[in-house]
Amino acid sequence: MRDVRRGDLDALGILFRRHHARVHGLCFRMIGSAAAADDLVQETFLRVLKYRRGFQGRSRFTTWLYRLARNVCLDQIRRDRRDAALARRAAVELVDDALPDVAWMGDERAKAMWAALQRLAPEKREALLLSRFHDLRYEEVARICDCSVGAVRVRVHRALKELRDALDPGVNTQWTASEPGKGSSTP
Amino acid sequence: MDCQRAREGFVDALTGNLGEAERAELRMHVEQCAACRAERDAVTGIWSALETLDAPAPLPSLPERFERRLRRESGKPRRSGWVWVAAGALAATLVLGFGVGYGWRARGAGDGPATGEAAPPGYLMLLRAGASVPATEARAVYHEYAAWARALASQNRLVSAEELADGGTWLIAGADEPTAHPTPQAASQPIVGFFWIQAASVDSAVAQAKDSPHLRRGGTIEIRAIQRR
Repeated sequence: MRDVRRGDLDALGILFRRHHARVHGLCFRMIGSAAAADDLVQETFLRVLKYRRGFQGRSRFTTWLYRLARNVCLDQIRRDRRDAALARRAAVELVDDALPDVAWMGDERAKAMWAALQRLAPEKREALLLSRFHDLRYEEVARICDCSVGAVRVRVHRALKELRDALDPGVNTQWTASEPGKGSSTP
Repeated sequence: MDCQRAREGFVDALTGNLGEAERAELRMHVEQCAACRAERDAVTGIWSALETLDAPAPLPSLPERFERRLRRESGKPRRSGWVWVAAGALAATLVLGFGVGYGWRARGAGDGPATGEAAPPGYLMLLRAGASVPATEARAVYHEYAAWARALASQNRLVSAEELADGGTWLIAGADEPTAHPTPQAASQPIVGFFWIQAASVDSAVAQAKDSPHLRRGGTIEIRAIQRR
């Protein structure tokens, strides 16, 4: 990052190769589109360069990077909301007799979970995703999301409760028996 | 530890935010409380189920694409630092959602041929209906088309893209004088939109069209050269 701060584009390319997959994962789960994630991860790293002098090294680079990615995603969500009426209009106008390729969504369980996730408010979604998929403690999520540790805790708790409420209890039971994610943390 | 604290503790434990002493206390409570065991199993089930949200791997070419974009944008003459990059990134997000998610005019927004340089021949990709999508997938479709439009724009190939209104009027030569007709029934795949792109040849235009989400979704694309005289 020191080299990037001097404007070294090669160094930025190295950072991109090192970190873009995890940023892509966050963007994908926040937005729900692989194509959009491809674009958002590039926007995130362009912001690394644009705001490089703002990184003072007081936090981990990844914390700062996730914060930029999170802001890029929130900007995209705001644009999506602006375009929502038009997208809904498109849905009405298009033919609805065939399924598109949604292989990336996996099976029915994944689709249900995906739909429930996308209904979460963005601040709950990001807190949950950062905690679940990026192994970050509340303190670090709070630094990324620019809020208190208590707020992160409440958001994660509420996000999980809303997911439980949203999902079919039958499906929920099935999930209960599935392989745990962070098995070692299971209480 | 009471049940209320225990239930709050399940999430904190799963997220790695509970100390060892509290975890031990939680385990002791759960061993003695059937209701909290059930609650623990439910919370753990949801937590595990999040695993189903697989994220696809980024495109293998993404680092190269980013580096090309970086070099292209950083090579532009600019007054200071990254003002141009910010403007370019902003321009690349100006996708207005019409119809299936495109609606773009990129003239002046990209790094097009310098003034005085001959523009390459233009081609129209006429998107014919046939692409279909359920209402629940509208946003995903929108992003697919938007990403495709952005990719074309970032390569300075996109001139314009629009959705067309339903229906149309055909002028058909008749015995006496041309007569306006509604879209004939025979035109089973009406044109629903277009992308006006710049390409050096029809082969290049075809190559661009092959990346289109419209084809993946069952649509048809007719490519027509714009006649230059």
